[in-house]
Amino acid sequence: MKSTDLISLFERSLRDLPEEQLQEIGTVVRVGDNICTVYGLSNAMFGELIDFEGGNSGIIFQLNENSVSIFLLDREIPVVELETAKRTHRVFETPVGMKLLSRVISAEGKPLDGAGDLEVDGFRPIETDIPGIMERSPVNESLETGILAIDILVPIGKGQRELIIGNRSTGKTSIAVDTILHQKGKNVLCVYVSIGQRQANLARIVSLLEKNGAMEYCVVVSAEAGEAVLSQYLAPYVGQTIAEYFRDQGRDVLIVYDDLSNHAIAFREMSLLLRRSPGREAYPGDVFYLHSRLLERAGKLVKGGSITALPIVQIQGDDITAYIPTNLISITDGQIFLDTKLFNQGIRPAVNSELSVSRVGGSAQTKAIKKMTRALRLELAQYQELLAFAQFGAELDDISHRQLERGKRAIELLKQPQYSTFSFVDQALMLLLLKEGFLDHLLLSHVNSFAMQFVSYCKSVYPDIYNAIFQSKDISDETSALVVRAAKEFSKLFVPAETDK
Amino acid sequence: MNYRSADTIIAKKYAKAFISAFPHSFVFADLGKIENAQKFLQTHRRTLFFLQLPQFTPEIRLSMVEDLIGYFSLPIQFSKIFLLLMKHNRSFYIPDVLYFIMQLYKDRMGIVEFSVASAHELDEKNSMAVKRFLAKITGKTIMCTYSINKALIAGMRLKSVEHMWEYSVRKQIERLQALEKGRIR
Repeated sequence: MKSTDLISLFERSLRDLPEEQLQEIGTVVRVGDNICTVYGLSNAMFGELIDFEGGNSGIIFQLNENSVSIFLLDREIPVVELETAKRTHRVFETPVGMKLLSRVISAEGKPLDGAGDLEVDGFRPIETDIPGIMERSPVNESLETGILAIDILVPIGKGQRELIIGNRSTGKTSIAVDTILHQKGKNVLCVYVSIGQRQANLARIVSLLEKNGAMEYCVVVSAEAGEAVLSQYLAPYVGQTIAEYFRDQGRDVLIVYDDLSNHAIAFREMSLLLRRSPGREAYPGDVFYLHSRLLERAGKLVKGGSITALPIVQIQGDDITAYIPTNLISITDGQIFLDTKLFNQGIRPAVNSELSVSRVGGSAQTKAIKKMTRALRLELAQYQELLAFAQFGAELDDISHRQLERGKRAIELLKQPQYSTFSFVDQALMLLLLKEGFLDHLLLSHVNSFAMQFVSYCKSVYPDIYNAIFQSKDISDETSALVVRAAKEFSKLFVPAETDK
Repeated sequence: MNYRSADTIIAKKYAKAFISAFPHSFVFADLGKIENAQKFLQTHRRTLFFLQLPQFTPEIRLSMVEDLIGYFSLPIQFSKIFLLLMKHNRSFYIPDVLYFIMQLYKDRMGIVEFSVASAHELDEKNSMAVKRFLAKITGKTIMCTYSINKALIAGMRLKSVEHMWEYSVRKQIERLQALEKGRIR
């Protein structure tokens, strides 16, 4: 190189933002367990993205006196001792855009569905400010799940955070997937975040969503069990950032985190590797903040757009007092508790009406449903109490006996097959049947088919009644009378299917 | 240099204490002597083991330290820090403490060491241009060590402990590769 060339190069460098030309660097002094310690980088920020000379990159998770601890993003690219690490002056960002819909991506923002490169509108940092009080609007609009037991007992509103909690194999994911399927044609976009799940499970869910045409309005973010612990940690924040992008376009978004127990376990692993002091159940002290800062980003905004979050958490042996479940219960606006006993009794979805609660969803319920369910919760509670009493072989009076029979039919009505969801009008009609006693004379095995056949009878024979409820979202006294008349008419026509006998 | 964080923190504290207690104990010209001693003790750690043997009386230890100081022509104040570390059974920290004493001195005097790696040998004029450039960009006094790195293909890399400036064909190729793989935008 000629000295004149060199001098002109230096002059150019000095002219064009010299601080950007001189990179801040550090030296890798220890690598292991997908974490590395870098000596130097004295001005680096917590959470900053660091590039390694060998092509890998990582995120700073701990600032020590002389060094920083970095979690690596890529397991494949090796990082060696004494390798140079460079500051990037930016935090981890994820791609966002409307064209992410129908795609399956990794937590690092790479496509996993083999459908080519992602078309993105931009990149956003995954840790952003939580909307303030003045920006938020109260939850006043219903988000239908299409699941009768949930929509009437623990209604969910747009912008709500409702926890789905239960033992393993109690149908937690099924509820979330059913809810996503039910959003078809309802102008709600969905983000499904899979954290630490088996790849086969995710493939099954994706194919189910595809088969039902739900991928058109859905983005799947995956950090499967075999991936780096950092990916599992990042996945929910990536999903949330994508959801926020949709919300900022004025859209209603539903986000499912499946599940946050795995997320907490990933964070625990990271913290233990960083030698942070273990606390209760070996989780670090800031595990509450891990989930609160994520779920606080959900909500309904005054300017339009909402994010409804359905975090899932797995418990062991029905113990909802474990550390992570209690944290999540206190962060969220209610929980849907799925009971193993109910599940084994064939009551599916196995929603435990006593332990499930929705703190804000009631105000978002449609008038039609509200009217019909007013007494149902009480009836169910009385039924549970009487059931326990009846098991002792006590003689029951007529009223108690009637209550018991009504309760049995209510429970039967709440049973719902997977992947079949009901609109609020269907639900209102079914509940009216229960309320007016049309199910009382039926055999238990006929209850469901009667209710479902009645709904389709109403839809086809009395579309005016159906549309009136749909449009007014209410059941007036006149409409109620018309439905009762139609139900009487249908009772005479009803023939149970062979399978129900 | 020992990178184990707990050890480096302790060594740094001793170095800070020494610089505070004897701020004018050595001058810029002594840096080379300190560096020689540091490198020797870093590679001949058996010497440090002998310094710590309990069989030696304090008088013998003192004479051993004085010999060591005399051998490397270190300022006499360094015997204090050596004896203190031996008293605390931390003679194995001596190379690290010497390293940090040099670093702290350089920080205080605004001296930055850069290693200049170039694809081809630099002539006197180019070397001076590099030094002037680094002085201007860092605002500090620059000490340079030069080497040739053919892997750069063409261009050069200027690197200190905390900073790096690179203009080379290799860097441009790596950037293109990263762009292609989508690692950078």
